[in-house]
Amino acid sequence: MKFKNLLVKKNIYLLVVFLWLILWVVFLIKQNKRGEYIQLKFLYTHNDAERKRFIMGQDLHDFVDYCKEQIPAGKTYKFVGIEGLDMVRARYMLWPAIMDPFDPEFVLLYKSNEVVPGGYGVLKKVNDAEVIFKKKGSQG
Amino acid sequence: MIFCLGLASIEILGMDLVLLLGLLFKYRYSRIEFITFSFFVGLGVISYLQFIFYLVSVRSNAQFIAIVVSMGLGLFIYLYLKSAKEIVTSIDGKPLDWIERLVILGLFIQVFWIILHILPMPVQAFDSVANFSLKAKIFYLNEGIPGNFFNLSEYSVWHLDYPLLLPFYMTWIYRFIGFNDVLITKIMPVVYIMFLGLFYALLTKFFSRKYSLIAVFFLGTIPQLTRYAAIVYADLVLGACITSAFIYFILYLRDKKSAFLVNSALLFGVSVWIKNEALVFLAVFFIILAAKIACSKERYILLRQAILACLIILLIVSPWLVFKCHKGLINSDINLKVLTAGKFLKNLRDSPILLFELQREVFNPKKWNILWIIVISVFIWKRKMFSDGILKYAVSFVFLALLFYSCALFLTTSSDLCFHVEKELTRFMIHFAGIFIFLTAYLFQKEVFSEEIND
Repeated sequence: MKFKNLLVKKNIYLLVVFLWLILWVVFLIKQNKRGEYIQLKFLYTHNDAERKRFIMGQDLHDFVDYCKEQIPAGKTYKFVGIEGLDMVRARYMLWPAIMDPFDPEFVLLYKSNEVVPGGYGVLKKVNDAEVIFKKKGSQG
Repeated sequence: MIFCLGLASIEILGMDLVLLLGLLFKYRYSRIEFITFSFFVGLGVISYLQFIFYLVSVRSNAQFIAIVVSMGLGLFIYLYLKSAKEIVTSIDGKPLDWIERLVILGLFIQVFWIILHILPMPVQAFDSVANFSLKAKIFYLNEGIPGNFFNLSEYSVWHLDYPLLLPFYMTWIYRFIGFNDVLITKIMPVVYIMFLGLFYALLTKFFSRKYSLIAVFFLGTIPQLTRYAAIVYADLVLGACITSAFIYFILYLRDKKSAFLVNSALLFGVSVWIKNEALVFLAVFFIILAAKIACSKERYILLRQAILACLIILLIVSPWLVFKCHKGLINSDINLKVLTAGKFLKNLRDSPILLFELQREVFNPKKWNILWIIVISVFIWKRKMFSDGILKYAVSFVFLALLFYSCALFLTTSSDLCFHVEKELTRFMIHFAGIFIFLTAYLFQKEVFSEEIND
């Protein structure tokens, strides 16, 4: 009886280990996110600058990169039309310019129909949907 | 290559302190324990130094790093030549059997897989970019923390109240490699490998080499843990420090050696520099330590050791905590000033969400394999052992930590509980995964060993 119990227990342990191994291999190989391997293939075949463009989205990356050239370090800005993960990535890229949603010196409009508040004039225009506004009368 | 130099400098600074502690407390480290423990201590040392230099307005630029590392290297050479043979012991020389080889191969495949995924990846995950990487970029460009940094608004930099170990770790590596936010992501697999190494070294103090390796394999192949080894989040670092500190603490409760308590205190102290959640573990550590002293016959010896541990923790955490209180830095999610009685009661009423999300996590093999099913099964099966020896302290530690943690995170949040639980629960489980695997292995060991005897 004792031997039988032992055999059952041992089989349960083996089953648990086997199940763990199977699931490990399955989730190791199976794509975590949709298109993960396609993304990896792209990243492996391009340089660092292209990798960053790809991760952020090429349009947005190019716009933020352009804004970076226009906004001096230490100046304040806010986004219109960039939110969530895109916003935190853009903010990361733009530092040492500082994000200030209340009284910014620059407003960065990206593919949005939102109206930019008064007191700002167009500084640079990539196209009609991607515009950098600057506060009228501000220095720098 | 230069990236490795950056890591080596962290190792050397950690080894200095670890060798000193080894000499002071006559403790012998195994080689793996020495290397991996030194790494986590080193992370604490570089964070502490960078923060102290901010407080005394010294720029932490390349020259500063060069001076610190040179001094660290000199001290390391002196200490190593003087005491390495007494402090660091060689590893077990027995040849590996086929199961051990298979387990090591599995772990190598897992590490290779993580590196394969992270190698071309720039920093990109939400909190990584919003918090840690942005702070590291700021500290690097400014050669230290800018003078007005803690006065910036939450819109400019998120979570100014967050401890700074991870940004400091990134900044330190940037000093070696230059600002490169593609290469920097490789710091996380290093943390993962060091965690597994230290976990293994500590498990061998309780179990056989084979059994320890299998437990490490279970930990190392948890999908969610491997996912966090590929993004720059602080949760894996916290999980590593808390788990190791906990196991050192259990070793202390078993053997009553000062060195174990000192190592545990050191890691609990370092944890406070990683995430605010570490304060919960620190509180539970003090409670259990007090309980142990109260229940012990050797009360005065234990009290002396406990005072030493408290002083170490105080020395480590006080600069950051005092500064944080002085500056009035407040967490945007858990802010007792914003929390009202009505909000608290609403959170309490909504707490079933927590159970719902918990079962979604527990029964999610894509994230946890069958870890929690094994853990829960073994805990129910072996529940009668909970009152035995050190297990009563270990289990009390875990359940108190769970209780405090849940209360702190889920009942006092002033933001939407549903959103908060969804976001935090999986990270919360990462902090506990190593501890639960250790306890499960501990509860289960008699089963395995009794069978080996019967065989």
